[in-house]
Amino acid sequence: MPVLTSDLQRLFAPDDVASEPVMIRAIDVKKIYRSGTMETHALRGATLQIYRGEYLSIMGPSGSGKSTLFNMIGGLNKPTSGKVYIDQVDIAQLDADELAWLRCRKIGYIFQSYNLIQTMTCLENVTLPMSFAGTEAELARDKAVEILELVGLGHRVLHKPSELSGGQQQRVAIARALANSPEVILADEPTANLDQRTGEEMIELLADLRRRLGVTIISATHDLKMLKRSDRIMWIKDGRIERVAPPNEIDFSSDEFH
Amino acid sequence: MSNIKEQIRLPFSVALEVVLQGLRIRLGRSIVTLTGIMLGVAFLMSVLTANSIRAGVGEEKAARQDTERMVGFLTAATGPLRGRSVAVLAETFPNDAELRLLKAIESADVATIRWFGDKSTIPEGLRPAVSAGGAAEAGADASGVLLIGGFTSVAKIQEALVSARQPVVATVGKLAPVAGSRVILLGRIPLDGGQADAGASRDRARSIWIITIALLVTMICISNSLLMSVTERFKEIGTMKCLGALSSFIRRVYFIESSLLGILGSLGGAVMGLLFAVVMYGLTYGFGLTLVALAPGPTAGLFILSVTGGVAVSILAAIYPANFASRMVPATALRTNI
Repeated sequence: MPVLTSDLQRLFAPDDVASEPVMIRAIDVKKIYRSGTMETHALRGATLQIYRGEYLSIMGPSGSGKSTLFNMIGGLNKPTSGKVYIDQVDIAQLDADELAWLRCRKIGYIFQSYNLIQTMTCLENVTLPMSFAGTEAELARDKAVEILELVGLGHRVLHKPSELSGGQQQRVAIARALANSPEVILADEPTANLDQRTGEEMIELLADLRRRLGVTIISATHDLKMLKRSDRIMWIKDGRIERVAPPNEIDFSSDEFH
Repeated sequence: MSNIKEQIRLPFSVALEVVLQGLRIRLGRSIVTLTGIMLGVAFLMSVLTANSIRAGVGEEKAARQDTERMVGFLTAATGPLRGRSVAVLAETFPNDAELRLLKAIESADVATIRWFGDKSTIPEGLRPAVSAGGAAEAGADASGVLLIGGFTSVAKIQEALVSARQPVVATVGKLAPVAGSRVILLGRIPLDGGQADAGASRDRARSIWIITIALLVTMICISNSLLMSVTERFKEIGTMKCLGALSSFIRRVYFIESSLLGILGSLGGAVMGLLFAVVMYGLTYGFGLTLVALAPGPTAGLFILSVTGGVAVSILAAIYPANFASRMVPATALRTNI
C-alpha cells in the first residue's frame, strides 16, 4: 500500500528539518550478494553522513564496494542490513513505487556513459523525468529548454544524442539530472569517458550548478581534478570506509593517485 | 500538487512514444514479429472460414438437390412444365425451400405463374401474374396448384381447381387429402442426422486442436521477440527506472507494444486468411458456390473472433516479458554493457 503523497512530501520536506544539515545518513550498512551457495560481501558495515550542499567524492578500486555504496545512497538498491536515510527517510521502509518517487524527485543521476535515450531528442530526454513526475507537458518543455540553456546547450535542444559530442551528451545528461530540481546529484565517474579539457568543463559546470542551485553532489571518481574540487573525499576498500578527508589534507602526489 | 496517481496516469503518451520509437528503431524485428502474428491469425481465420465454407457449400448443394427432387416430383404429376401455367396460392412469404422451388419452376419456362395472395407474399425477382379475380381466376387453365406457407383453406383450393386443367395440388408443407384432387407432398421427412453430427464434432475437435497449437506457436514467437526487446533495452529500462519510472510504466510499454503489433498483425492476418480460404475453395468448388456459401454475418463473426483471438494472444504473450522488464533492479540494468 503506497504512502499517500501528502505524507511522503511531509516526510521529505518537513518544516522542522529543512535546516537539518545531514542529507544522507548510512548506519552500519551491509550488502551481501548471493548467487547459488556463494556469498559476496560487497559492503561490510559502512557508516557515513553526507551534508546538505556538500560535494563528496568517493574513491576506491573496482570491487571495493564503491558502486554498491553508491547505489545504496542513491536509492537504487536496498541494504541487506543496516539503515540508509535519505532526507530522514529510511529507504528500507519504501516499496518499489515509493523508491521510484524518491529517485524521481530527490535524486538526479549522471552516468559514466551518459545513458541518454538515443531515440529521443535532447529536449525529450530532459522532459522524460518530468513526465514521470507528472509535470504538465508544456511546463516540462519550458523548464527543459531553460535547463538546457543553463548547461550551455540552448542551441541544440532538438538534436538527437548521436549528433552531439561526448561532452555535449554529458551536458544533456546533467540537464536531465536537474530536471526535477533534485536535492542530490549522483554522478558515477562522469568524466571517465571524456577527454581532459571536456572533463574540466564538466567539473566546472557541476561546481557552478552546486553554487547556484545548492544541490548536494556525490560522485564516484578517480579524476584528480574532480577530487581536488570536492569538499571531502571518501576511500572505500574491501567493503569498508577506510578514510574520509578534505582534499587539503591529502598528498595528491602519492602513488595511489597515479 | 501532483501525486503518485498522476504519476501513473500521465505517462501514457510517453509510453506510447517510447513504444513507437522502439518499433521504428527495431523495424526489422518488429516486422518479423508482425509477420508471425499475421501468419498465426491467418491460419486461424482460414481454418474457421474453410469450415464455414465447407458447411455452407454442403447445405447449398443439399438444398439444390432437394429443389431438383421437388421439381421432379411435380413434373411427374403435371408433365413437363414448359409452356404450362401454374397457380400459386400463398398464405405467407415463401420459405427458403419454397423460394428455390418457385425459381426452379420459373426457370423451367412455364408460360405463366398466377399468384393468389397478398402482394407482400411475392418474392423479389419473381414476376408472376397477380390474380385479381380470386382463387378461381388463379387456377384457370393451370396444370397444377402450388400452396405456399401452409395454405390450408380447402374451399379456396377447390375454387382454384374448378377451372384447372389438371387437379394437381402440391405443397412443401403438410396437407390433408382434398376431395377430387391429387395431393403431392413435396416435403421430405428429415433423416436421422446422428452420423453427420458425429463427423462434424470430430472435425470440430480437430480444428480446435490445430488452432490451439497455431496460437501457442504464435504466442511463443511474440514472447520471444519481446524478451529480445527487453534484453536489448536493459540499459534504457534501467535508466528510466533511475529517472523515476514506475514498474507499471515499464510494464505498460511492453503491453502497448504487443497490443499494437497484435492489432495490426491480427487485422492483416484475418484478411489474409479469409482471402486464402476463399481462393482455395473458390478454385475447388467454383467462386459462385463459394461466395454463396459464405454468409456475410457469420463471416464477420469469424473475422472478429480471429482478430480478438490474435490480440488476446499478443497480450498474453507480453505478460512474462513485461514482468521480467519491470522487476529489474535499476542498478543491475546499469551494469549491463549492451
